[in-house]
Amino acid sequence: MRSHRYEFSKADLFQAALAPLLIVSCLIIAAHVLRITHVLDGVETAEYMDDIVLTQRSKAPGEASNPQILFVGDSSCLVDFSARELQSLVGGIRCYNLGTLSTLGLPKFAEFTTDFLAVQTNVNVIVLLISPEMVRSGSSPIAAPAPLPAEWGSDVAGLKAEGERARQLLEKAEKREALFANALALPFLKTQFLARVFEKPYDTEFGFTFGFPSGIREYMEAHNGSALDPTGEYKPPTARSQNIDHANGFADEPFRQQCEDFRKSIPANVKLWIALSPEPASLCSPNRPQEIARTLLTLKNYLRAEAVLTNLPVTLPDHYFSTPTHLNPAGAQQFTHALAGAIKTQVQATPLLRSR
Amino acid sequence: MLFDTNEFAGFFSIFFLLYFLVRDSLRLRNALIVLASFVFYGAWSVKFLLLLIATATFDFFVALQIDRSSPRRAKLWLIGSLSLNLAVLGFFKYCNFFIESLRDLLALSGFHLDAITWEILLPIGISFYTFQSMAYVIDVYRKQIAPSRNWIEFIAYISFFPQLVAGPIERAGHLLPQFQTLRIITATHLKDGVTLTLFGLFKKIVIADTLAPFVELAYDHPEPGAALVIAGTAAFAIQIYCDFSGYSDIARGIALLLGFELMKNFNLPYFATSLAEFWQRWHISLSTWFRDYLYIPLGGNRRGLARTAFNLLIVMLLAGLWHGAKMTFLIWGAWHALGLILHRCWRHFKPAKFELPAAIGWTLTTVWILYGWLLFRAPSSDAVYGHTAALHQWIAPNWFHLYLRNLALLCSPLIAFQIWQFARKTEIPLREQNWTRAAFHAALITAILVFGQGEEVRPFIYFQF
Repeated sequence: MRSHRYEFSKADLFQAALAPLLIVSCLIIAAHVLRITHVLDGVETAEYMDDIVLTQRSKAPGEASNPQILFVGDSSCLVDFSARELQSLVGGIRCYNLGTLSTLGLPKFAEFTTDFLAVQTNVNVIVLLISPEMVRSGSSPIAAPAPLPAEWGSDVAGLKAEGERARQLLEKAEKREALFANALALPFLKTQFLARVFEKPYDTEFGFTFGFPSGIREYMEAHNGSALDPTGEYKPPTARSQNIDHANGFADEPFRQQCEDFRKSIPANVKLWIALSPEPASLCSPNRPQEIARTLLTLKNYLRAEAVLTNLPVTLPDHYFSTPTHLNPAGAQQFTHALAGAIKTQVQATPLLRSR
Repeated sequence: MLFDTNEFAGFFSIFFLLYFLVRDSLRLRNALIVLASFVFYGAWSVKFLLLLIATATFDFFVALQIDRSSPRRAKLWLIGSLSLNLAVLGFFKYCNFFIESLRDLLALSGFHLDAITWEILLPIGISFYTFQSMAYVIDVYRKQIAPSRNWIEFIAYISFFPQLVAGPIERAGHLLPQFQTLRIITATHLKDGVTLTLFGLFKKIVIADTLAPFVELAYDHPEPGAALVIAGTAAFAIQIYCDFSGYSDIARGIALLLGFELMKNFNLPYFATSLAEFWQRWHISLSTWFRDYLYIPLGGNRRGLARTAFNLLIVMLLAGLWHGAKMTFLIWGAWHALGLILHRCWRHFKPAKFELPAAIGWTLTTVWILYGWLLFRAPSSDAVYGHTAALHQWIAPNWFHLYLRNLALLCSPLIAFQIWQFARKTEIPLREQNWTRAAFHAALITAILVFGQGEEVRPFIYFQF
């Protein structure tokens, strides 16, 4: 017995399946033309915090309102204090936070600072605020991992080979997917059309605090460039052996050179002050304040800084941190007050000029 | 293998080609459908595929026995079949729930039981195909249908891959004969099949999957406040509707392309002006299953108001439990039972000529349904309490305006389209306008591709039931 029969014409098939595909193909071609001609560029599409920070920083020179004190530094500078609150605590001296990410390093900080100063001519003081973690040199002695038991040898080798195969497969699949997506101009359509009108929320703490990527942007604009690390309360490891000892490999040559280059990027009529952000108390040995004082002194020499903000807390209780290098919102509030005290003291010692 | 993956696209393309090639043989066609369904289900788990085959084969033979036995023996066969099906379902789905509930109950009375719970994996779609198989045996017992004498045909009916894992729960009287006859795939089948498949994918990928983080944000928030709970619950109402009805649309669309017609599982449920009407529009294949095989045998509404209320309570509690072994599903079932009982009382006691304006009926129904979704979505009974308490806190996060704006942007095209469907009383639009329909299909394809690009594939919510 016959099973099934197709009772439709070629025109029906064309209208149902091929015509829509033809229209979609035309759309894709149009999208490629727009992409090549750069007609639609300029929309902000960053979703991840790091990307948002970098995008904001590149726009900062045009958006900051004539700050007198500019904070530059790594992510601890970015999230450890609110520049807006600091501004009100230091009697209205305008402050702006240009903190970014430690992975960018001093050369990139210098680049952002130069761009900023080219537009914002009121800056009298640059405060370089970084985490002690950042001054830890790449040449610091890191203990070599203990050798694995001999009987694990073949298993580990097998697992490694398997892992490598899986990684290669994944890479291939991702490449294939990216090729397909790019051929259909999907990333372009997504970032240049969809992202203009619609965004998805974050989950967990970032979602609870900022909601959406534009929530982070709004927060940073409202807080003169400062952000927040909302990831909760830091739980320190239980073993005391985790104590930080950053001073070990501090004085290496590449870092000294970077410091000198950074200094050169700052105009002569702008002062440079330096400060280190606090660390969780449980991670630090009792002689940590002395180590930090030595570190600051060395940094001052490298950077030929005019001043060091010494009366800042070296450590804070663990519950003020979300990670070993980031304060949580409660910690940031605490540190903002400490920073305000330090700035006020320094301003009294060396008053700011009206303008450059 | 999920409908919205490349694997399924590849699988279906090969199947579609083979399906075209076997058009001259009914046997070959049914064998091909069975084989494809086995591949489709076996891709998840071969072990559970064997379970499906075993339980279905048992019901196949039981139905034959019922047909040739005396009424008394037939009843025994029926009881045997229902017992086995419910035992399998109960073991995989409810075993740990009952052990834990018993332990908690005993703990309340001061007895402490060291109960053992097992790591039991739930066979995907078990609630759907078990109900379909039970309906078949009951219908044969009631002599509403003749039993199938062809195992391949019967297995094709039970395991038909478009609707195997999340319904619609088809009745043998409707679907089984379609495996026994010549199917004619007309231009309407082709066009409607494409429209339904694309619209289902749109609902799933563009709306449901994109809404998921909105819902998670609202339900995971430690201090959500009333505004976020309400908006998050509304988002969940749309998410679960688009997720489930999207699956049903795809199933129906794919089946139409093969020449099979599956029953409509959703009929614009959020336009209901009473809770009773909602259950005639939501998951129709399950609600009619409970109506025909439980509510009516219990006496339905023929034995007075009190007995009707009791029947409604039993049915809705079991409907809640059908969704899974969780206290929140039971509470959800009880909430709907309460709503249906209140509605029944209202119909009973209200003045004969008085009718509530539709707008008020719709508002009350929607509020009732929304709170029901809060009960359904909450991860635990404690969370139900927490979110209900949050409804009294008139606070909103400072980014709530972004939440509302993005939610409205995402959902407004769908809502507008559904209003249009409701006003025009049509499920499939633009039937007579070929080029406009092609443009509509193109818009759906573009949206599916753009929203789906680079996103993780989320399983259909109803797969877990």
